[in-house]
Amino acid sequence: MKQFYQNYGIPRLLGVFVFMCLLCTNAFSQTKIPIKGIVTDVKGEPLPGVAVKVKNINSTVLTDIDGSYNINITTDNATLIFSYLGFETQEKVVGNQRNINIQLKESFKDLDEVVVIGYGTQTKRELTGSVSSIKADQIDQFAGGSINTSLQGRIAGLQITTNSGEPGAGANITLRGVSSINGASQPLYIIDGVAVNNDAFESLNDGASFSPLNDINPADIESIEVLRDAGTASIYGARASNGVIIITTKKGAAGKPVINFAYNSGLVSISRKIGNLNAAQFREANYEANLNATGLPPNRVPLYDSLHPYFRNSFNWQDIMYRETYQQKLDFSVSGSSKEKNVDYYISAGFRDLAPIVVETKYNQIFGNAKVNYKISNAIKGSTTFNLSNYGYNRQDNSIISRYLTTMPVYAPYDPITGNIIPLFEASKTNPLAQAQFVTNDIKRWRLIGKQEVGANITKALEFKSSIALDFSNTEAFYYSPPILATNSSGRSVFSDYRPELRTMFENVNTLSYSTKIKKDHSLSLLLGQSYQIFNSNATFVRGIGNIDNQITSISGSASIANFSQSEQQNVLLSYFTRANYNYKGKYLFSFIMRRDGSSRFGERYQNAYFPSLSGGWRFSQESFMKNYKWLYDGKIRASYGITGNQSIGNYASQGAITRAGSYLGELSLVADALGNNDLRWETTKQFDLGVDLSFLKGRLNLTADYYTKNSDDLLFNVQIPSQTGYSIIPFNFGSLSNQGFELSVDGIIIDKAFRWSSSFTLGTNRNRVTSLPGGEDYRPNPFSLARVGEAVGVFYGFRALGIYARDEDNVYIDANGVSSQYRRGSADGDIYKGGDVIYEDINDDGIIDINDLQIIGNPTPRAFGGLQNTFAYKRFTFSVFVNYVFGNQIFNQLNRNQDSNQFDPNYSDKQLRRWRQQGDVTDIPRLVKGDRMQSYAISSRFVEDGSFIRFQNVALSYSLPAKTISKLGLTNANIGINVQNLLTLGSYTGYDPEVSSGANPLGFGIDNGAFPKTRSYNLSLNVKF
Amino acid sequence: MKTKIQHILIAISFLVVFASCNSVLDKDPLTEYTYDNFWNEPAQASAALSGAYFRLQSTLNTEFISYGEARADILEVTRPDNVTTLALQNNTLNPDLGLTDWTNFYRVIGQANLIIKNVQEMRAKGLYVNQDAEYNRVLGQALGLRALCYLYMVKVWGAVPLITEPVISNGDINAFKTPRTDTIQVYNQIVADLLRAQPLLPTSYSSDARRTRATLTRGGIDAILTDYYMWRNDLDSALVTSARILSNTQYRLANLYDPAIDYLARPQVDIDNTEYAKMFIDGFGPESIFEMAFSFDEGTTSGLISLFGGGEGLAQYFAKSEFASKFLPTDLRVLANFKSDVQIFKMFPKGTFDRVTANDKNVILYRLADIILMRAEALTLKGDRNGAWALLRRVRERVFGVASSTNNYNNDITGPTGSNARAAFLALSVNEAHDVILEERQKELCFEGKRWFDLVRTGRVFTTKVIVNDTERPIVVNAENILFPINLNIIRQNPLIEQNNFYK
Repeated sequence: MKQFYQNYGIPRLLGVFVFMCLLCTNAFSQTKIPIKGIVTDVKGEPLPGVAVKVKNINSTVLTDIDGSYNINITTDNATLIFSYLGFETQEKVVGNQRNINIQLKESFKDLDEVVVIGYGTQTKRELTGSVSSIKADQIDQFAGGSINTSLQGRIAGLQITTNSGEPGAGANITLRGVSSINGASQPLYIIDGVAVNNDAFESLNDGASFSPLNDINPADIESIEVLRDAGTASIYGARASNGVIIITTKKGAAGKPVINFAYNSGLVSISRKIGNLNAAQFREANYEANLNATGLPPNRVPLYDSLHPYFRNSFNWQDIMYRETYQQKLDFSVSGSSKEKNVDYYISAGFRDLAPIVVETKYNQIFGNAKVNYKISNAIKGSTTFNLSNYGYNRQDNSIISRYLTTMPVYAPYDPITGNIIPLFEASKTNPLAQAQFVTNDIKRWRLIGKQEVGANITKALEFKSSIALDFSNTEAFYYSPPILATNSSGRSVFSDYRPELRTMFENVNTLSYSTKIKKDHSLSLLLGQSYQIFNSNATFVRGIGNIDNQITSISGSASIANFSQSEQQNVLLSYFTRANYNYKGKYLFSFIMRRDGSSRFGERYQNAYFPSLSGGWRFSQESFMKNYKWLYDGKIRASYGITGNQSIGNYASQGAITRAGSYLGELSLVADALGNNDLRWETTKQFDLGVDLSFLKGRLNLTADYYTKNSDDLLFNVQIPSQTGYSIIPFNFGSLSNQGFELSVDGIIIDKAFRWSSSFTLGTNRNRVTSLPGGEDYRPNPFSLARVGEAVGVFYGFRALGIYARDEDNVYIDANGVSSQYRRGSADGDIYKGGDVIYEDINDDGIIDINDLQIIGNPTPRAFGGLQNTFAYKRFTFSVFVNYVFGNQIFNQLNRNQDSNQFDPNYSDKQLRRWRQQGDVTDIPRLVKGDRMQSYAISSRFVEDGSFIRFQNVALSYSLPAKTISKLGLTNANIGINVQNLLTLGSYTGYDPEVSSGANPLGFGIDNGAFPKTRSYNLSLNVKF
Repeated sequence: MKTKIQHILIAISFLVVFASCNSVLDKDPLTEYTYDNFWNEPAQASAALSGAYFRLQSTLNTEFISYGEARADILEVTRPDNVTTLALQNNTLNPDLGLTDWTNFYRVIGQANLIIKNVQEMRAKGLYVNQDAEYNRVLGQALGLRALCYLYMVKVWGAVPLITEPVISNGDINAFKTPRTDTIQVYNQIVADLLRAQPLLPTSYSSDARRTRATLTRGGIDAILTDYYMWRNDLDSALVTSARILSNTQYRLANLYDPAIDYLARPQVDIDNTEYAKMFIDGFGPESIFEMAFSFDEGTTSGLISLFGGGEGLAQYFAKSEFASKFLPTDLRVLANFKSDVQIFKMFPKGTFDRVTANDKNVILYRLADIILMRAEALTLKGDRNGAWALLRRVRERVFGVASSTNNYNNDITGPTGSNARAAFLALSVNEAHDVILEERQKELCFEGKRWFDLVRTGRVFTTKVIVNDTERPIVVNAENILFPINLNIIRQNPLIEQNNFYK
């Protein structure tokens, strides 16, 4: 009908009248021949919702849930047209058949596929920007799956490094390289059109960060789109620098209600354990470390008395603390539409139990989701969406990894005499098992995202939409340190912390969109919009002390309140935006975007900023000179240039803060806590993208390639300043950096027979470098990393280790005058390196190893990363293997450095079995000295390891039961499958996992501090539809 | 109907659009002050001053021992697994140690700088009309705190960056990086601040008696000045400032010896009730000139509990037995200071030790006995041996009572202030007499963070010997080793800061 109006421009009422007349004529003038049949796919699965149309006659019906249709024709010469999105359209001359069953074949590529872009949609054909997407079937449905794991390796240029194996853990997400330094910089997430609150939230006391996306049930997601270039992303202006990820949830399908039930369960275990010393090896190493330091043997009982009843056994604490668990997830949904098709709905509920692999932990979550679209009248329609999530998590803190690794193997978790747990070893060191049992560390969270939208067609071409949305979350964190674990040092070691935090976001978006065709060849669409967003947060922290037992762990059992604070914050974003798309004959495509954002975070002079972009495309395959190249199905060259921004900084950063510290002699104490910066302004990223989309052999093989450059200026982050200022940081626009890279994604169907093999491959490469820093001076945010003009972002900085002195006499330094002496540590009268010490490179050749010999020793940014998916289908079986890979980055193994240099009598890693022990030993591990006077464990290339890996992320086999069998059970579809998640990781890294993330600061990337370890799971899935 | 709805919708949306003008973008913090809305009322400046004390608490909480005593010849590390205390005791300091970081001092200084500048501006704006006393209090105390911090810092690190103005951003982020200032300039600033603060402050605060002890007073400034002059070896000035304290009626020596009670013959618990012991246990004693108050109710935890509390396996330090044995058996300070010979209980009750109530013991930074003995040193060095003896006798008589033939603790001939002791003291060389006073200081002020600085300023750090790993050696051999290293983080953040020579 739409076509009808647009093509002929007949006023609406007249149209309706004509249409009625046509119907009447049809009804009364001809005989009806009923035709029926079933439409299925090549596997024989019924296809509901297929449009069946009689050629040249405006009569269309849709197949129902079991794929059947009934249609009337007037003559045997009629041709039926079967069309369905994603399938090749088929035509069939009726002839004398009255029962026509059709098998539709999936089309290779659909250029009419709709892609969700900001505030609207576009067909792939018309896109001028770079957008990638994944669909529901690519989203991880195993119990522990998440949006982050689903996106890993599937989108070229999008690198996702999950922070840890903890349920709900956050991830570092970088799109086309690091463009912001600020730790809080996350992509902007748009869920069903709502720019949701994407601030991670943190646990109490250990600061583990959790992803705000954890509140979205992966089972409810229809598609995820990633806006990669400025040509698409700048519609979100000030927040788009780090990418825009658009998540669209499922909606009701036309037809009878479909009930879907899915059960996923998995056996989950730690993917790897680190080699540690056993009791005997440990005592020997510890004895050596003490002797080498002081000349005296260790004097603590567990260290020397191997016959002591408490210390005579050997324990691997990793075995004690990690367990194999059973995780499960249950999803249920109903979708459908009313008979009149004016209301469609999708309602779902989900539950998951993600028992983590550390003992004494628990995680349960429920989801609810409802989406209803309705037409109020022909011109007015609306939709209502709700997403609800609630979870409770009893967890362990962030430092468990190093705690389990360093706990002495001679400590027994249970008293060998009484059998009771020992809370404190030697009355002062916490037993990790007791800590797991007695410490409360809980998170309880509610989240509700709701949206109400109304749209009205003012004229046929002009549509007005208005929506209000609410994003509400309440996160309660509890922490309890019980008396049983109190070391005697302070009455404050028994405490109960409680921190409820409420966050709300209200958003109002109003858009006007207009689309028209001028003289048939000129298509124009315009968008004009405005949005207002206000974020509120209110967090209260209370610490009670003096609880008496382990029973009442909340502040209601505390003797007094020792500490409290409250922080209430607001920020507002007021924006206006416009987009114009124009194309000529679908061949020459242009798009222009402009957004003006105003943010309350900046000083008055800098509140508002403009973010424009321009992009164009040329579908050269439509040109007449390409007509002879039939193998080229579609070809498009695209280019875009635009500006996006980043406003991730504290809400009141520009103003500075004087905050409550406590009180002194009963008088309120206020302290100048944060230094303001009136000149604070937006960070901007200028991005150029040149891309090509090629599609061959009717879309059987598709290729998309993009080259981009990205220049980010006025990087917005809290810059460290010397503490002599009385402050540690200042919010500042600091320096510039650039990224350039190449992205490729190829997908194709290699074999298209009964046995079908399809494959898709993504590759992203990126080179970044720091292009300017204030005064050109190096910036070192932490002891490991460095920002230096001309170098990659966050390179490792330290000594270069050349080996270990095998003998004392191997230390020979010959100065410029040929005088021979020995290398010294620190200064001209510093200690002389001896056998077993590390040989550090003396870059200034002065015979002294000191601060002047620090150099760049590694780069945490990968050269290339991506994924490869292979899917094999034969009859009812589908087998798929998904591999992701990262190449060319380095990891700083701080976990190992920390463990082996720990001075508190830790257990050591099994690398210490190779340590230097006597003159002449040739090895790569220095001698053990408690206190490490010769700085063998200084930050050096000894701990820099290759971080490349290939991971078999998912291997899955599924079988869909034949329709005949299941129809007896009243089912329309049933599918069972097994899959292995994180089956195998190939790589040389010696830590837990080469996917390391050390907080979100890109200047500190690639430092393995030891987060909650990753897991491997063996999963079983069952999926049925009624 | 349809069009009506459309019109309403459009009207609503335009209302929303126009309601949202630019003022919606001006959001001020709701639960904190900003630099723009502060310094408008005297009460705000007072709260900021209170904040400076709050920060001083975390600056010197355990550090007063780490900097002032741990490297000397008094403390013994009990736990072999504590890297920091071992490094202090064995003189193997390195720039990785947390205590080598001066950040906390600058957090007090930064706060003081803000107060000093802003209260003067507030006064110029007429915000302190009829509140001269309050203005003087806030300004004087802020000056005093700044001087105290710089004095500590030069004692510990030598030259440090001298910052006396509030830090603000001028757009050049590298402007924050300033090098270490010549020590003389820092000294000049310290003395200038103190001399400016001294007349501003009253000798006591009537509003809250605790304030007289736990915030700076005129006497407090005089005490810092005395300390400063002794450190600089400016004896004449030290004699002037110490004389002012001795004549200040706010201060008297807390009583210890009581002829009516024979503490040595009674349970050790009884010593807890003496004024002397209470000065440490309860705080705010009559002898206290300036102390940091910690309060359980206010949630501030004193570092004393982790330094000395808890006995074996928990306390970081015991007393060295060589030191503990220096006391006479009749010295009541033994009862007040120790439990089981070497456990340090000076700040804790010797009766029931309850760690829950023992974690808010005040830290005394200056008290009368400290000043008396410094003055005795100055008199000795200036040649007034009799004057020195009179002061030494005052301190000893508090412990042993007045010498008399009937006093078993202090016989008028053989007792600590008896005629023999007097004659011997008067006969000593200047250097030997100085040693006697220093030893008295060591006994009187042990565990109060004084000894290391005494050894350094008198040069005795090179001659005093300690036993480390069964070998006796001087505390320090290389003069460059006296200063502490500067933390690596400080140098990383500001490469203009040069490491102290010994630790390069």
